[in-house]
Amino acid sequence: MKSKVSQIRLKNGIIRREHNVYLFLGFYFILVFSYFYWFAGYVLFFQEHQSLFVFSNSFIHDYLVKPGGLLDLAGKFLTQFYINNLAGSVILASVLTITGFILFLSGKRIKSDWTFSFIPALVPPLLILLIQTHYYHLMVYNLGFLLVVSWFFITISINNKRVRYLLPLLYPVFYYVAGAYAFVFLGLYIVYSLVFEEGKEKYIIPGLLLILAFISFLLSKDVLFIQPVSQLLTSPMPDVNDRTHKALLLILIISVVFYPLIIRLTRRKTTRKPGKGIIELLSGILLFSATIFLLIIRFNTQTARVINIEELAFRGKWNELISYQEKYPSENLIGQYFYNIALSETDQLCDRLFNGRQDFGTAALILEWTSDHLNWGSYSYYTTGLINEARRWAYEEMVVYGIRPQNMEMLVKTSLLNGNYRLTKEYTGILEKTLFYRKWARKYEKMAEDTSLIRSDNELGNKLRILPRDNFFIYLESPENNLPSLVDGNPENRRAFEYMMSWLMLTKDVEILVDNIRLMKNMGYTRIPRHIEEAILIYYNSTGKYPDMGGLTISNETRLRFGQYFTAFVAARQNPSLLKQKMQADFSNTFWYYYQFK
Amino acid sequence: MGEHLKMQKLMLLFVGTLFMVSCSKGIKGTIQVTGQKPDIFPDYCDITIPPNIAPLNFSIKENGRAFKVIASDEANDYQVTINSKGRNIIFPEDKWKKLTAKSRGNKIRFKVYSFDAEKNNWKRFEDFFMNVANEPIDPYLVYRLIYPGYYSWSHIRIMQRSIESFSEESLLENQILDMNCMNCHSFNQNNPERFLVHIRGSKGGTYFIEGDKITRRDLKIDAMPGSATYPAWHPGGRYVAFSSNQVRQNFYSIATKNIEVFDLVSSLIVYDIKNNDIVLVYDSDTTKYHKTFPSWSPDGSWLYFCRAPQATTSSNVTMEDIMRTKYDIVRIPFNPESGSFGESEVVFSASEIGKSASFPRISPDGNYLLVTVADYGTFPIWHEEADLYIIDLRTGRFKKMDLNSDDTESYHTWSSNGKWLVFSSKRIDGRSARPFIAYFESWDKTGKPFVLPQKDPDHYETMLESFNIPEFVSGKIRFTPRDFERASGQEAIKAIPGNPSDSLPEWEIQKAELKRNPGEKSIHE
Repeated sequence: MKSKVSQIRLKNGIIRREHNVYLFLGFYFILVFSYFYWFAGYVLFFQEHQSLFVFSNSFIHDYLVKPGGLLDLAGKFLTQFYINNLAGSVILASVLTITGFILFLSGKRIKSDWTFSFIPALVPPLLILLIQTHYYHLMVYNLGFLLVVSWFFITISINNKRVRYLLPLLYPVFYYVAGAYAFVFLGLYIVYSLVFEEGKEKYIIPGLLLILAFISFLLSKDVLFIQPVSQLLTSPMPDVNDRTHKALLLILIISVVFYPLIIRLTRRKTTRKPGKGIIELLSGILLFSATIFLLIIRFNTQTARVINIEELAFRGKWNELISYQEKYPSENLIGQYFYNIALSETDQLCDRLFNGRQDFGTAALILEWTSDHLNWGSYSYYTTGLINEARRWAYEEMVVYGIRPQNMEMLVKTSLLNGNYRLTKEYTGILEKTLFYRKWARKYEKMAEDTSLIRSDNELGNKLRILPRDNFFIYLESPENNLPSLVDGNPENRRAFEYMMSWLMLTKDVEILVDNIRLMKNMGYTRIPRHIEEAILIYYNSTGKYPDMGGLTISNETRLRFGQYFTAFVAARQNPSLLKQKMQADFSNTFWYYYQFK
Repeated sequence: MGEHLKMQKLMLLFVGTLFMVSCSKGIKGTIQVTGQKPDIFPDYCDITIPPNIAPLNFSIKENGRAFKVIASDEANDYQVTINSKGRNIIFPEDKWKKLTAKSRGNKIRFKVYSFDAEKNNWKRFEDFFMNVANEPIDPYLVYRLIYPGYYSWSHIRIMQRSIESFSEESLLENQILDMNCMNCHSFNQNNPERFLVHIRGSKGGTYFIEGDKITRRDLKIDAMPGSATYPAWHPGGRYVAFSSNQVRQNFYSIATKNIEVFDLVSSLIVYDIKNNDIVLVYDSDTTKYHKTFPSWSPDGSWLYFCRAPQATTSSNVTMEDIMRTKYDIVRIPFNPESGSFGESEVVFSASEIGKSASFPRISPDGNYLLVTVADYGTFPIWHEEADLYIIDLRTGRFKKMDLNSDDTESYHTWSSNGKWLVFSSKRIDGRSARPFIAYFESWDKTGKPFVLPQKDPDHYETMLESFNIPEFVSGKIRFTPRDFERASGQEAIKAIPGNPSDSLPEWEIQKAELKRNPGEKSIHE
């Protein structure tokens, strides 16, 4: 009778603890989903833009010729759904939660009497979540861990002794599919065997696995694949250039590899003490609280801002981008660079340049030619009509990083503008083999078939009007030198003109700037943009004369504001330590402030 | 004339509306005859093919729910029938081989049908033909696959492709060579056991393949303005001529032009493999020339090359300087016994017709010289106007070849029997070079060129890489990328000056040292 009561108690305890596991996993799913859906959607956008999944033989073939390629391919397949924040968050939360669930199942399989703590099963998923906050932590890395724990679970779930001996023979296949993650599995299985297996199996299967792993590597290196040794040993494991990420990854790998040992160490002598369940529950709550705390402190506002700005730029939401940057200023070069492009695309560059931070001077107008800037450099050339250079940057990006949405879209547009419609169709043909860019591609493919549509398209029509008319060699080292050639060759190109004037303002070269104002009337200006007026008044203030304005005049509003600036400056000068601060409060959005204080 | 056309139209209308009961196997119901050839990609209509070529699979760019193609020899003794629900027509390799064997010296007829689901009838297009030549083509083609980019590169591969099948294997891959650039593979008379290739950067050197051995050599001496660049292996096997170039590139602003690759300085050298020494190729002409793209006559008694007077000795080369630089084809006699040269002579003065010539390649019989001709400069692959010209070396007459298109035609080579040409053409998309093959029957008669067949006919429509430097090879190369990786571990054998008095003029030194644009790497050298 007593033992029956104990059994019922035991059963109830197990059910309660199992409920706790599901509770935690459910909460984990909600946590991951909420974090990426509401707070860190920028990670999804960023990753979605790192590659394009093309449904073609040649695209898939490239992933079949290397160990881990299939895993990488699966990661890219899922990543394409990140284009939708909701779908992306659900997929990510599911993959991470399933990993935790399978780890738990593995623990349950190892110790079916529940004399183990489920807390160790929560550690890897929580670590993965923390690692996933880094925008370079891709889906493939999560799938790698999922594959490792799944294969481990399958391996330990087999009772048939003969099959258990045969299963390691599949290790080369597993290595082919999972790449370097197979080494994590190897470690995990060896630890499991040493800790839990008994008899000769304790050594024979791990030994067999080690031999097969070595043979797999040698065959891959010398016969099967043309891959560098370093790739064979590490790909597709993450190689994120971030110390915290590297440290967390190491802890994650250790927590997975030594999971069986941890289960052994945290084992309970009996399951009959219900009080232990509460300790476990509290431990879980503590772990989750610590994770949430780390999620909060690891959230990088500046990274989020710059990627959000990138997204707005990619979608061509220029006015939203301008408002966003003015409301949530990005301190990042790329954020400020896109702000300037948004101003140019909305024809406000010389009216509003100093409404945004200009911490980098001319560097945020045209990006320097380096591999670090390949992703973004084409935009400034595109906005100023130097289409060949925009195309070149996009092409170079494609060569180095592979086809991505932004480089393919830029290549489609620039090939249309350059009149190479066959090439446009080649690019749109590739995009049509994707899930989410085919509609976009069809629009531009129609333009390649009916070229009158290019002229009537608002964006491309405007670009056609400002194409270079003079042929010159493009300056790469001093890209600002392209701007006068663009303006001289095509007076309709006001965007190049305002880029040139902005460059001169940011270098505080007022004399050359005012010398160009005479060109404005012929370019169709009916009024002088505000910042250029401000520059003229600086010139007037120092020389006592106005430059040739080609018949245009300075607005009363600017004159009045200059008077206010002057008065405020004289007053604030009394206290030099507060001068900059006081002037910044009222005049940071003027060229005068930039000229004097930046 | 007008009446004649009217009659033709009436006939076409009549034929077009003619419905006939099908007697073709597998086609039931009526067949509408269109009177037009089908639109297929690649364009294989009325081409001349070698008897040993892989199946010429194609895609039918016509509407239809299903397609049927019947390929038969001229006598209709042997037929290959393809029924396809998709547009792609894929011929089984064994049947194709039988068909081409039966049609050797004759024609293959292609009957093409499409099924119109709306009208519930079959359409028959006008038949097209392929001529099958008697002369085979070399069984392998070696080319570099590279994105036709500018400064950057990623994955570069040199591939060997069986022309007789679709088998394609890597010969070199830069991903196991520190991602360095590799270029200018060059064969000694199409010999798969005797060729060389440059690898740049950390694994730098010229890798010579002779028999079963790869030797890494460092072919740079002080008297050269740059590294050893464009090669040509002397038929005797002992010498290799190279140009030594300082290559730069600039980018044009206008839509119709793209990039200009040009030499700041270039000169010729000859490397003596036996003595491991390098001598500069001089002649008595004191004009300051660019000299590049060497090529030997098949008997090895002449070295052909491209030569242009330097537009400027200044380091600042302008667009106008480049546009004024027009290369002629020149040759200089060579004595293989002594390794000495005579006086140079102009063979084809492209500059006289306002053009510039590149890549001289002489037919194996020594009678014809094939060159790429562009408006100016030395790198025609980026020149839309570039075309192939042929020069009869016996008479000096020359002409633009019929095989050209409105797009770039460039790097070309002869098959070992002199009956086939392969050349790079950008006629498919205007951007990426594809290997086109043409039958060379005589000065007057050249077959319509066709692109190297692929198993997937849509291959060229989705592939963005260029086929660079297509070279015929007479057999399979037995080396693999791993062999080159191992060879890269060798200490490079440093070449020595063959003539201690060889030196570089001061102005060439200054030009050679002109710094590159930021990020520019020596991709073309």
